[in-house]
Amino acid sequence: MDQDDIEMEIDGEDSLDIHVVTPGEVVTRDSAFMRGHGTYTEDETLVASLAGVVDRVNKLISIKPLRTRYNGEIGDVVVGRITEVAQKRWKVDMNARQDGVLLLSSVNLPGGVQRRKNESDELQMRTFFAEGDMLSAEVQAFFQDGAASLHTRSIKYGKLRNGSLVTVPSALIKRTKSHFVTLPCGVDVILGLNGYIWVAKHVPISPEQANQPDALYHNDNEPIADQEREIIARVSNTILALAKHNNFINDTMIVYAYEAGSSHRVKDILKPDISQEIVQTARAQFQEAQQH
Amino acid sequence: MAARLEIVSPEGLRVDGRRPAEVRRVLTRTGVLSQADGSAYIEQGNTKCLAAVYGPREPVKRAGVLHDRATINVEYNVSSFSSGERRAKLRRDRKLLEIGLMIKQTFETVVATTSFPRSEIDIYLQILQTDGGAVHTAINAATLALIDAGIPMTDYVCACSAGFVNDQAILDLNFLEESADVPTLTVALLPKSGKISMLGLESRLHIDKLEPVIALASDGCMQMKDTLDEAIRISTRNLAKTVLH
Amino acid sequence: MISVSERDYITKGVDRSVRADGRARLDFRDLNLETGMITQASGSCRVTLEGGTDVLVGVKVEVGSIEPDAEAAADADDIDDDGGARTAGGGGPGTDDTTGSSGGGTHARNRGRISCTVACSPSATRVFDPRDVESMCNEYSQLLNRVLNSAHGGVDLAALCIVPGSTCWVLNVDALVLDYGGGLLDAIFAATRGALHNTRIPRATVEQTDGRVEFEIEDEETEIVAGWEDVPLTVSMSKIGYRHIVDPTPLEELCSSARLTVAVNRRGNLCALQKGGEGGIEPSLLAEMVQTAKQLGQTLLSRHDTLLAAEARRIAKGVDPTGFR
Repeated sequence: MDQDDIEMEIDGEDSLDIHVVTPGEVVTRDSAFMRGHGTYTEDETLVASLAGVVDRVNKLISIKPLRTRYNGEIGDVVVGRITEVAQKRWKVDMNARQDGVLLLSSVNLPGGVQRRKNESDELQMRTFFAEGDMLSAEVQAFFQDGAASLHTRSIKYGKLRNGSLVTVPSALIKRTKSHFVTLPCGVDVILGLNGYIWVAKHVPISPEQANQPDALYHNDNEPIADQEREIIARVSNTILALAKHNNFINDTMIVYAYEAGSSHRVKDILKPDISQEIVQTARAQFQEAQQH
Repeated sequence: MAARLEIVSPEGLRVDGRRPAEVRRVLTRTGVLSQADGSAYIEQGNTKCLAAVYGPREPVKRAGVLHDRATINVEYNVSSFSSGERRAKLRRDRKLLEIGLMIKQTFETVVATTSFPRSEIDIYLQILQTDGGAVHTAINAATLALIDAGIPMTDYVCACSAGFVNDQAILDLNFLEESADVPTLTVALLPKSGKISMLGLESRLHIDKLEPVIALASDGCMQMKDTLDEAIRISTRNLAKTVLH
Repeated sequence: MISVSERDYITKGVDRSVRADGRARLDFRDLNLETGMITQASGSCRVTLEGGTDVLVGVKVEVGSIEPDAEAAADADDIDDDGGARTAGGGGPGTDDTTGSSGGGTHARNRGRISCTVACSPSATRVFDPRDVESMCNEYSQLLNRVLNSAHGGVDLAALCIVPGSTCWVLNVDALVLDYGGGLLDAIFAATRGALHNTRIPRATVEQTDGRVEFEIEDEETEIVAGWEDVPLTVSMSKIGYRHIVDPTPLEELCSSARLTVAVNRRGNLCALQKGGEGGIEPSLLAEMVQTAKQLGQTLLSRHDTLLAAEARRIAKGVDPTGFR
């Protein structure tokens, strides 16, 4: 069980040579290594505290668990739901270890609304975000207790409309260049790194509109045609199918899986045999593309 | 009056054909509940337990929040249809609450709660069927579910029961043996350090007999460790294969 | 919790019969059913819905006394052929007077009973306030009890009688909600009907010697629950805007102002009707909903029977249930 020799694999990703450890297992006795996430030191040895794959980057050893709650990093794009309106701040459910915090000072107030004292009272704050509202935001910092501090200070962030929420395990969302994607089928997808994904009708916002008091925080949906609704539902189900089979999720995979499922009815995509077929086809396509 | 049941026959066999130091057949599975952060199902003989873990997450009750660590909550429930005689559900059965508290304290020693201040970790244990050993099965299920949820722990918590009857110690008692007035000791062990983190005794046991019973129970815990660890390794390996990078 | 825009999106989608998951208003999600995984229970069944709802029902059969007080209330809405047989003379349990209950049919003193409880595992109830959970469990328990013990409940309660006037079988039906993903009540009824199909009752033989009635229970010989096929299923319809849908997701339930639950059996009879939720339903809409429910009920029942038949075959072959494995 305990290994006296160091068995380090380079890049634990390779499915043939992954080094799996379980809690309490000695990872290495070489004191030259530094302890990273998922390990602890006991005497001179480095011990695992999680079940997962050993990941070594230079002298830092950490354990990557295969399933865990979202633990963010600064700069992460997240999607969340307002749970509470408090003094000069909102609390946001991000499916993380704690609710995130959105400070009043971290949101865009439309031009023309002056920062007077009374705007911080709760009634006024609810004209921006109220309990239940969905929003996209970026992690700007962390509080000492680990809670994320969010901001929506760019035009691409803010209140979400015209669509619906899909929830997947956060471990399946990979960090990419852009988490705001418009799919070829005409649907917008916001891939929150916390596992919340917003799928909606593509509605462009112009910079002029950004300054209208109503534009940012209104709650009205655009008119949505039946066909658009169907496509939104199809994309939602496709994402859920990928998640069910533990496949990572990014725009490319969604497109492959969408195409693979196009011959099926929207509501059938989640049936076990159909979703399996769709995911396998998409995976094969992905692997083929990788080789070119 | 029925004759007192012979727990261990002269040939050294118990009512279900086991040897005194033999643990029942164990079956485990993790990730059985899609909504929970971590979950596990264990069958030990005919005892069946389902464990669900949520967290670390935003606490529901403000009152229990600790500023420097996570709070662990354990709820231990036994289904009305779980035992030979149907038990009517008593609201907030005190015995169940006591067991929940005991299990909570056991896990507080191994879970790295200081990594998650102001949050809570909820462990929900449901006994679906009991044929003896419900508490230790629940502890083992909780261990698997916590690992499944990716919550850091310094060690496994492995539990087993042992008793003393017909002049010898027996391991992993079933319902018949437990109800036959056999003093039963439930032990939870931290395998890496060898420390006992929980000890519970239901009836009187002579002090001379205590040591062999504890030793046997600890042995049983180590056997459980092997079983649980094997299960975790297999599921980790399988998960690693499907989550493509 | 739900946002204004989500509520609008869902309501308009329902109106257009394109729901968020692509279903039409009257489409059900796929249902998985398995029986017999709780080997120590007399019968068990687990139902899971795509979307997370997970219900486990265990049935435990026990010998009980026929309650003398239960007669007055129960007989009030019974069609009683005996007329005046209820008068004094029929004593309490344990008496050997069996003359007043010959034939008897639906007479309360000649039948067994079903006792139901619905409980929620804490893992399922995170979304709700604890008091809401308790009142929901109470409401569902009451409905199950009423339906199964009524004339249209399906189960032949008279067949559960062991010694008329004194002893009977009591079927304890315990439903445990393991996870919540919407559509809970219908899933509970589906699991209950499945569990009753799976339940085996030990054979009771009654002997009358010297005016004393004795009975013996043989564990080895078991019988099915007579009448299980006639146990109804429920179709719950949620009103959203001016329309109604079946099998709602949790977000859809948040958008719904009222719910109508209709219990239907395989003969097409209406067995029970219950309205839930704070909103109102227009009378014309009500009639339409009931009609729709009756039709949908038949579809659900035939799907249910197919699943149960497959389960019966699996059990006959000696294949163990997957359960939670």
